[in-house]
Amino acid sequence: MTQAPRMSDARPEVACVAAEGCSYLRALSTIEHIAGFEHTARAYAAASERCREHGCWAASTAAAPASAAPEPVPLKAFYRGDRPGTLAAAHEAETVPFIRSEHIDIVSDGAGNCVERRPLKLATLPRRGDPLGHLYRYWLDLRSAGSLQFSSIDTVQLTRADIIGKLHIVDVSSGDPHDFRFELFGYAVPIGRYESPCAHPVQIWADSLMRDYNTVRLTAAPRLHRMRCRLGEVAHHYTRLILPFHDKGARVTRLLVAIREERGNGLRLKPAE
Amino acid sequence: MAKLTSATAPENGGVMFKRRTVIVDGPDPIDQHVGGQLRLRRAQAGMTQTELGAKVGLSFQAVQKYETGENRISASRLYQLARILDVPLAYFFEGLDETGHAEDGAGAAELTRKEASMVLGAYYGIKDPRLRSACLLIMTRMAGRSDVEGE
Repeated sequence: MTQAPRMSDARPEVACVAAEGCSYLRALSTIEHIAGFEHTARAYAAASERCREHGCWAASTAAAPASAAPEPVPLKAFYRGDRPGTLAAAHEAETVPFIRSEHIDIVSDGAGNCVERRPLKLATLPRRGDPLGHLYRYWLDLRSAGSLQFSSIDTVQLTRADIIGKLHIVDVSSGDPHDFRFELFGYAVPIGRYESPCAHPVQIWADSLMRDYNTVRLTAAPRLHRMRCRLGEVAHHYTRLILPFHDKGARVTRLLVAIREERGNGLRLKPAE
Repeated sequence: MAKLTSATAPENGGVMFKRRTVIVDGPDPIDQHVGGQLRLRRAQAGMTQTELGAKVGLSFQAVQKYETGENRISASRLYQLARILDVPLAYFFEGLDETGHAEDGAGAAELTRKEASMVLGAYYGIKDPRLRSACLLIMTRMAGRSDVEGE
């Protein structure tokens, strides 16, 4: 039986980065820019600059008590726990049967790195109370409406899923997996930031990413994996959902990769004696 | 190919307008701007396209098309949207210059407007009218304006 994470666990950290302004707003700005909404992208970028100048706006609005002002505080809706239509509380989450996949794939190298990859059925994603489940249902809605272009994406749905910091957007418009590149790298993901999947220094890890991304690009079908790996001295354990988006010609050109951290993710390991 | 409309041809003393089509010319920049303002306001209100669509009796795809400028928003629909999103009609045209082009600082203008509304909210949150006018006096003095001296 899987246990859905609690709302507080799933919420991405909102942190200001001195050089780049508020990470959360910058991520929203990047998503809007990729989706082709320059107007809103500029507004989010300007708001993140404001954060840099005056301190983290998001953190202050989240901490502040409800204002008596008649007009809603800009962007406040993103950080309020009591907003309408928010993820269900843990006690409302439904239980789903856990079926252990037999197709486990383990790769290791001589340097002590190891990648364990377990494909999961998409049906195992909880319908409520889970960021990946929320995102997958939204993707299904888009698909059933026949609008799986990236420009159809609604950032409010992403913020409701509380997944912004743990979201990558990968450009897979090239047929060569070595040319895949990250257009957005989740700032709350405890893995070093790289321009492209193949740039990761651990080769088995880079190969695993390129293979999975390429599979989704070619099949245009979403994939769910439970990843457990050791890269250098850090252990990683997370569930990863890869969703394809296509261009006007129905060719998959972008992937939305969402990550749900599992217990023990980012754990620093002692080097072997 | 775009044609000149006779009613607005130069010999009639009108301004020269091209008849645009979305397929040939792409969305009109003003429609795109209005759509962008709609998207921004919707996001600020934390409302999804589906929810906004349900309130005005549209599908979420129709809201998408409004936001991209692919579909024009009728006057009655714009009025409805303004009421639902609690903004004045002029909000959708903010950041457009006289020629109908978006100004570079449109995003910053949006934030300034929001800041102004926050100040107004805080101002009217002060129940005591004497305190309110004292605040106004302080603000006008700080702004270096001597023409408004309060009571």
